[in-house]
This record gives sequence, structure tokens and C-alpha cells, in this order.
Amino acid sequence: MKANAVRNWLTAYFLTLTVILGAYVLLLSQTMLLPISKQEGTDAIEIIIPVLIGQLTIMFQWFAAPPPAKDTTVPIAPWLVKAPPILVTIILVLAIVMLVVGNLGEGSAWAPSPGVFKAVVTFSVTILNATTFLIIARYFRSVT
Amino acid sequence: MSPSGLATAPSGRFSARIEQTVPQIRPPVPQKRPNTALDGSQVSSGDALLMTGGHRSTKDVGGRRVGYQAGLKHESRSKGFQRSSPFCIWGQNAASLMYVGSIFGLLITAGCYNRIPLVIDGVERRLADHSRRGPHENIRPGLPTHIELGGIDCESGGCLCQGEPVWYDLVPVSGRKRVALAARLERLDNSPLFGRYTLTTALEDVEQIRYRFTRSLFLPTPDSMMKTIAWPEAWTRKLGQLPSRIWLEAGVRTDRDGLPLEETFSTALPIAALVGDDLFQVVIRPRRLPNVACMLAVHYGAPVFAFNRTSHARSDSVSRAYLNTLRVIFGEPPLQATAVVDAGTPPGEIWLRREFKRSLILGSPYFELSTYVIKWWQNTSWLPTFSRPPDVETIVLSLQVSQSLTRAVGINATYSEPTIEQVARFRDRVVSAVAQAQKVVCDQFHGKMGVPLPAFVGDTQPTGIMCSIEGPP
Repeated sequence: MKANAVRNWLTAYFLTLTVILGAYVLLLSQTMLLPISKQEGTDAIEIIIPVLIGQLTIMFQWFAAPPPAKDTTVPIAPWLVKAPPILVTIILVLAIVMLVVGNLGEGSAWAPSPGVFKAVVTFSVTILNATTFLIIARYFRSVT
Repeated sequence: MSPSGLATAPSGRFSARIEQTVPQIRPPVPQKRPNTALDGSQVSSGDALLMTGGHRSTKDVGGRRVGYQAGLKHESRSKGFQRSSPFCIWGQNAASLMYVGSIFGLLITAGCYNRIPLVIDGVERRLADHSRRGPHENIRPGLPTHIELGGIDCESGGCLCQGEPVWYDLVPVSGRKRVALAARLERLDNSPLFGRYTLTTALEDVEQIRYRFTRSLFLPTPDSMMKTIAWPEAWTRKLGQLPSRIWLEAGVRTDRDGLPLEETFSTALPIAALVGDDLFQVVIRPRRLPNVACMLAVHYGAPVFAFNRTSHARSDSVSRAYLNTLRVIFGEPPLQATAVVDAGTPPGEIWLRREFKRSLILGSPYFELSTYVIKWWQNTSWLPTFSRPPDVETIVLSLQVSQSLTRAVGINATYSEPTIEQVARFRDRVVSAVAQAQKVVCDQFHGKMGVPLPAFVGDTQPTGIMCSIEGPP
């Protein structure tokens, strides 16, 4: 995998995740599409958004003034780059779907509570922190 | 003489204040601090007391800021300005001054529209309302021997469960406003009964007629003060000493003719206080509570049926039909509550619950945990049937509906207190359900809706619409 491809993929991923997740939680909390209170939605945002915004800042700083280096091949297997973000996305989507479906109609006992949702968000950030953030630190290093 | 400096009149029921050597309101003393109040008729000063220094401090700070900023500005531009006269400096910064002045003007304007409500204003407003005056000018009840300070009803006090809760604060008054306030207070020294209001008792759920009156109380020694009034500890800390005179608005229960029936209510609304040589007036401040809704909200409480010359069997039959109809209507959307079976229900009460179900009143995504307590009684039900007085021809069935409500966003979220608006939505539905059941049963038993209470009920003031059912015996 080429270095630029890694950078483009990660930037597109984090930009999409940050915007969609932020807008979804901010706009749809306390509705049937996200049955958690506004306060709990804000709590979730406070957990995840600062971290994601930090990564985006690093990436766009690099793209704003890219170093004149050649586009070298990265000695990292592609799945190591893509798997953690994709798995995190799956976890987040699953949590939201369970939250919505579990609260349909008269509600279900297995529906995750807002506390569980926040725990899932924290877990997702932790996974990214332990995996993808290290790759970001390496491939966007020239500026940082 | 009572500890409060009051004497009991020969009647034993009422008391009148005895003139004695008392501390008088002295003429205004020179100001210790400059008084720069901006509001013509309201709080004047008080940098040491909460919030009242807003106008003054803004002005002072603003005034200092102007000079300070002007000096810095010229110093950074040219040393020549430093040698200029202050008039020159100010003249060349006219634009800056106008800018600061305009901001200051806006602050003044905003301040005028945010007047702090004074207790005395409300008292004088009620006193001026002659439609609610007591019919007997010569009845002057006295204050009780022990007084708790606070609102005597939700109109003047602001209750936690009804409307906006408030708390009271003391604000010093000085200068010309002190003279004006002293004159206003003298007029409140010994008022007749005024400001008729009703108060529903919690136990009997009966509305009582009450009248207000104002008195001033002289407290020559701290000891007499402590024995007479539960003076707030926060006020003592703020003022550093106890008052020697205090003006109060109190309430007394009367009959319909304005004749007092009981001793004066022990809670009295503070209006002003004389502390040393300083005169303080009481202001009303809203209590900033995060989510006041009251766990137990009483949605309804009023007589619903009047049985005239009706046998007990028939009145019991109507009552049963009414309660059954209530159960049915409460079991239907949007209340949709079912009978509580996991707890013993006292006689005379129905408990209905909707637990961890979607709230049809609040809508998605809210879930609710509601318990409705429907309590009913007849005005003679405390007597056994055989001992009910034979000459009582009218029986009144009263009803009270209370609700304990918590709600959550999502079924498994934390259930917490609702907002005031959410409680109001439930109240509307409950009142509607009660009226609907009343109408159904009234029609079923050929009753007549909208009939006033018969005279024998006495002091009660019905708040709902009654259905009157006549005979047969």
C-alpha cells in the first residue's frame, strides 16, 4: 500500500466518521433515531469528538503543507490500516441500531441503556487509540 | 404580654399591638458608600448584598474603565499626550467615550427592564385591591407568638410545586429612598384585613378562606427576637446583627364574612427590617433549581358529585359507577394505567400504575413510571351509616388525583423527575379524564352538570364542576 493511499484513506475515514457521528448525536439525540437524552448525547460527544478532531487536525496540517517526499510503499499490511476503523464503525452502528430497535414500541429488556452506549463509544475510541492513531502518527509525522 | 411584644385582647382570640417605646426609623444618615442606584423606584444600592450591586458596580467599573483605558491609549501612542491636560485627552477620545457611553446606556436600559421584585410592592398592590378587602375595618388580628418567615401562599410566596419557587433576600435602602420606604412602611403598620385568598388544606383537601394583614413587630432585645421569629441564619451572617423592628404580612383564616376563625397562621412574609440604623427591604429572587417538578403532583382535587335528598344506597351506587368509569378511562390511552396489585391499597383509594411503558402523553422516545393515587370521600363518610345525621339532605363526593411520575429517554435509561411542562401535560390529561368520567356517570344517573355547592358545605370553595343528582331517596 502506498503512503499517500494510506493517508487519503485514513483522512476520508476520519472526516466521514467525525461529521456523521457528530451530526447524528447532536441532531438526533432524544428522538426515536437515537433514544438517549440530550445530556447523554452531549456526554458521548465529549468522549469521542475531541479525539477525532485532534486526528483530523494532524491530517489536514499535513495536507496543507505536504513535504516533497516520494510516495513510498508502506511496509504495513493493508488490513492493519483498515480493519480497526472498520470494526469500530461496525461496533458504533450496531450499538445505535440496538438502541433504536430496543426502544421501539413498548421497548425491550435487552435494549442498551444510554450508559452502555457511552461505554461503547469509549471502547471505540480506545481501540482507535491503540491501533490507528499510531499509524497516523507515523504517516503524518513530517509536519507534526 | 407575649414574647413578641404583643398583648392579647380580652376576647382571647385576637390581639392588638400596644404602643411602647420603640426604635424609630431615623432620618437618613450620611452614606458610607456612594449610592449610585439607577432605578428610580427600586433597589437602590448594596454592593455587599447579593445581586443588588449590578447597576452600581457596572457604573463604577465602567467609570474606572473609561479613564484607565483612555490613559493607556495615549501613553502608547505619544508621550505628548501624557503631558496633555485631562480635558484634552478626553476631548480627543470623544468617540471612545461615546462608544463606552452607549454600552453603558444599554446596560442601564437593560437594568431598568430587570427590576428586582420587592415584597412591599406586592403587598401594596394587594392592599390597594378593595375588591378583596375584609368587610370589617375594625378587625385587626395580631401576630402569633412564634413566626416562621416565608410566603403565606403561592401568590406571594412562590411554592415549590406550583409555579416558580422563590427565595427572599435583604437589600439595604439609603438616602431619599430610605425616607420614601419608611413612609410606605408606616402605612403598613397596622392594616385591616385585605387580600382575600383561599388555601387548600393538605389533610382535608378543603379550601379555606384567608385574609392578609400587615403589622410591624418591635424586637427590643436579641433574646425577644430569637424567641419570636425564626430569623434565617444566612441573614444573620450577612447583617452581623439581629433586627430591632420587622414588617410582616401575615394570614388568618376567616369565615365568609371575614371573621377570624383561628389564630394567625404562623408563617409570615417579611417585608422590611430595621437593623441597627440601617433599613433593609426584602426582595424576591427566583430559585434556580435544575428540574423542579415534584415527585408527587396533585393534579385534581374538588367535589365532583352532590346528592340532594338521595339515599345513601343511591349515592354509593353513583360513587361506585363513577370510580369504575374512572378505572376504565384511566386504563385507556393516553393514561393507560392498570390497577396496582403488588401493594395493599387503603380503603377509599385506587392506585393505578403505568410502569416502564412508552409514555403516550410525552411521546417518543419517553418511557414513564407513573403511579396514580385516586382518593375519594364523602363529606359524611367519616361517620358510620347508622349515625349519619338524618337532617343532612345533601352528600358531596370529593375526589383527589395525585401522580408520582418519573420518566426516561429509552426504556432502560435512568428514570428521573419530569419538567414542569411535562407535569402540566399529565395534569391536563388527568383533569380531562376525571371530567369525562363525571360526565358519563352524570348522564347515566340523569344528573345535572355545573351546579354550585349547596350552602351548608360552609367554607369550601369548589374548583371543579359539580354534578348534582336528585333523589329518589
